[in-house]
Amino acid sequence: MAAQQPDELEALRVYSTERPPRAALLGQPNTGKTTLFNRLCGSRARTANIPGTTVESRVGLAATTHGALEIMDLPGIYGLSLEVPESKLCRDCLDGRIGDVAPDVAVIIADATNFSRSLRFASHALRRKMPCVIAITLADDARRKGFSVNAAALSECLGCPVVITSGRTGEGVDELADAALRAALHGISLESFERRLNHLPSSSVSESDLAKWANDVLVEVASGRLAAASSVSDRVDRALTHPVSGLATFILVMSVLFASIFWLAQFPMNGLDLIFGTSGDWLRAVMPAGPLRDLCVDGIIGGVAGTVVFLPQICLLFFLLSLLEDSGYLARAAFAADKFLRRFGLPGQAFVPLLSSHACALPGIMSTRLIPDPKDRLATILVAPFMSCTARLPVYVLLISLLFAGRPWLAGLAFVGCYATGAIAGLFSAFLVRRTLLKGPARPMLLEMPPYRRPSVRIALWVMYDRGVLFIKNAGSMILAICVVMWWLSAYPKVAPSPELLQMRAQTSEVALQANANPEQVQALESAVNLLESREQQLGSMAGKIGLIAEPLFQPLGFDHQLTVAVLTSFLAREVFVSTLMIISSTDANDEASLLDRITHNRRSDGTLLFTIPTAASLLVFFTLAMQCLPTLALVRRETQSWKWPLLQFAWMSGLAWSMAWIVRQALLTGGF
Amino acid sequence: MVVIPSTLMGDGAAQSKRIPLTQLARGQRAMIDSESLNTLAEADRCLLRAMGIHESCELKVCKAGAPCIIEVERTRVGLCGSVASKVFVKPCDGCPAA
Repeated sequence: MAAQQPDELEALRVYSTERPPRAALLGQPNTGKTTLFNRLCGSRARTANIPGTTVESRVGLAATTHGALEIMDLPGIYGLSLEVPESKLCRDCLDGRIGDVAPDVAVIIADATNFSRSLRFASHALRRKMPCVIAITLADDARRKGFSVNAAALSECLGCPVVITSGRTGEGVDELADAALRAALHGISLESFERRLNHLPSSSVSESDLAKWANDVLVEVASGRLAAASSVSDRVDRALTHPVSGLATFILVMSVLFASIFWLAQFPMNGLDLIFGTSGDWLRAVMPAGPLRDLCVDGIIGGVAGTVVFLPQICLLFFLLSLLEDSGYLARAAFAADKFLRRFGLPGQAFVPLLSSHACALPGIMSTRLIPDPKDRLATILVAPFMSCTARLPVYVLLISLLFAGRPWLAGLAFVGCYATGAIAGLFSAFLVRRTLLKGPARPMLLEMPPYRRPSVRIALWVMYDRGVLFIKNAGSMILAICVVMWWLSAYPKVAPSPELLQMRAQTSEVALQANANPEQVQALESAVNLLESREQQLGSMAGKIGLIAEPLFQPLGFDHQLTVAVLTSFLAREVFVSTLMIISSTDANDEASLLDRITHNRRSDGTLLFTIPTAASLLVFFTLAMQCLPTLALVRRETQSWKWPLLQFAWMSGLAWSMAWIVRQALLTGGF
Repeated sequence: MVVIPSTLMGDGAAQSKRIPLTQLARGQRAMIDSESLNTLAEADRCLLRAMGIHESCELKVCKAGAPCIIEVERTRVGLCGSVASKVFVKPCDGCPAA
């Protein structure tokens, strides 16, 4: 690399002070690009969509000895000229057609452990008329294997600065930032660009001749020889992609992964629950009663708590997925799942989002970013919420306990049936959508198998932090707004207490004033009165009125207006259904037996039992299949950048849920239940 | 690893029979037949070329069958059965199956 004197550099600093120069990291997947980015920017990075696109990019600031350099980590691509969205995006970005401003310098990543291929990639990138710097990554890894590159000789060969780096050890990272800043400040003259072009093969050269050119350069600038991948890798690959051992390993790894998520996440989830609960109680105690307090406690804290409580699961999922991806296993696992999922029009990479959705659809949908093909990704997003998430569990527990009280084996089978129903409906929907709206089979699997590496905990922590922040930002904006609107609908207008309620309250006060009053009995009475008041308020609220209007829609499923309100309010989040049932059943929230008993004996206004077996079964089927989750819809809107897909998803899932629930009810009624 | 294309090392491979990639045994080496990639969808063909799997390049089979895993230079690529069966290769003479 041709070194510049510091004073010369200072003289060049006539650059606009409005923004730091921007460097774009351009490279192939699995070449250590993101590790290098993390080294360059550390925590001074954020993930955001590239303006005007749905593709994410990480942007950060690198500190150099001569000022800051903004760095943009472009998506990993195999070639700039490929007609795939990521390549097109990189081209547009480098040309300044998207994003607020074109990069001032391209940092081209060349993997030292796969040098010939990297040179071929670089030869295309260097043909663009812009300042370029070559960063040779994984240099430490290559050296350990007996291969090294002479940076000065390569710089001479390619006509641009070259820096040897290692994202893992930090080697050459500062020099790279300096070199990129210097190149950005210098710009590129026509003369130096033409000089660079003279070093490169013609743009029309065949792949074979390009490979020959790369080998000639390699012979000139490199020393040593990288041995072929070990036979151990071959054996592991065979085992991990074998129809039997591959599938068994896949099931084992995924079971451990999701068991860890369920088990480990429960502790911080309980903590978050406690924090939000305590904050709500504290705010309720210190703020004067009124709409503002209700908004803060029930609307904002309640709404955010319902979403943020899943943050530990999301963080843990991305931490573990990052470790798996870094180790090289995910590419093998994708092949293990591909054969099965392909039958339904989904790619092998869809298995991670679908399995993650069993914890929560939100991280599941976020992890669809692992899927490279846009149609495959969209199909996966559309069917992911069919998988039974943890938020459905309380509803399953309640309704299955109602249906199979005292028959644990049948209850267990019903649980399995709920999970299976969701999965089958998801695969069936994927099958349909790939034959209608997103026509065409899933793209054939052509996947680079990255070498097996010891995963980096540091990178996994970065990924976890990044995803967590993104999730919180999302929860703090659109999801919060929607939650507040839903809260308002269910809390307003305020209704005056009914004469029966006023009478009950008066009786409770009388009992409390009696000298021999039992405090527990008084508390139970007060609790019952409060619940009745909530029930009246809910039925009189906007959501309650909507429930009355919507009742005819749910009548064929056996739901009365109370149950319709519960279903509608649970649209905010599925688990709300149980608390709403507690309210409409006028029972004590802390007494499960009492709740079950009350629900079992709950009656319609005509005096008939509300929860007959057909009604309870249809409600269970409805909840298994329906899209009763507002945060998921908001996230789908964000991921697809359109309201079309979430609305379509909502209509399909709700329609399917209603139809299946109706069929189940009719079948049970016909069967004499 | 410095890979000298087999075209520069004599032409034993060119005389071999042209067979689908799926018929190669584990450990066997072969050269991609020229024009062979043209039978693939353009997106797949371009992707394979960008990964370094182009006409006349030499490959080694790491795992036969579906998926088929091949190694070209230092790149390992997994191909599903439908793609691997459309890629025709000429086994290199003197490179028996492992």
